[in-house]
Amino acid sequence: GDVAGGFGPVDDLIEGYEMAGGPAVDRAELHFWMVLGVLQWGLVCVRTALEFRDGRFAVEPAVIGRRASETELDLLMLTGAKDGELL
Amino acid sequence: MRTIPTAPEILRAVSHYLRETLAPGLPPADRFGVLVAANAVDIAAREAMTGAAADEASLGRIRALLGVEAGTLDQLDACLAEAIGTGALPLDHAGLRDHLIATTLDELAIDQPGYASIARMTGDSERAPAA
Repeated sequence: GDVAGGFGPVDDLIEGYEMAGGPAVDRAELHFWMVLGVLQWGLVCVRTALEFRDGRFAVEPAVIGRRASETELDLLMLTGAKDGELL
Repeated sequence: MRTIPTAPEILRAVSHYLRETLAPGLPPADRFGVLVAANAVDIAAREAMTGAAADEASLGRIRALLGVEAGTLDQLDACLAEAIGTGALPLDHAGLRDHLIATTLDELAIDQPGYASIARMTGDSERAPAA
């Protein structure tokens, strides 16, 4: 899938990075940071929802709060739920 | 007897008004805010339509997973998270994966039916976003 910033597959990103002189990429380590990055966005959404309830009374923080579910789906996919395993 | 139209019908009329009548005549910054508001109203409409049924389904699955009947959805959800975190409920426990996926897809159908990852999870490349 197009997981590299939504622009292209991870393989292309790694190939480009290593061809440009970057050190060899540890895929397991890359995966960890991808999962952490996705989780981080989800936490931003939840925090924004709490800010909304705590006085940031506007439409935009409310709808951002509701986007936490996209992180839930992405984390399930990144941890292998689609293929029948939860890592 | 409750009068008609229903809450979701009313909300849909509001989002339609915002999007089709109000937004087009506004300067760009205001137009964006109105479109965000229309989207927010649509979330509320979808929740009013399917939220209760989705919660009932989720609650039923969690009760089966935990072997517990008593507790609200929020309480049992927290118990489930705890059980997964401590390993009391192993990740390969029958039904756990399906529950998590079903709950998340039901939630996204309300929050953001056009979200790209939905098609990747369901393997349905033909899926069109719901209104």
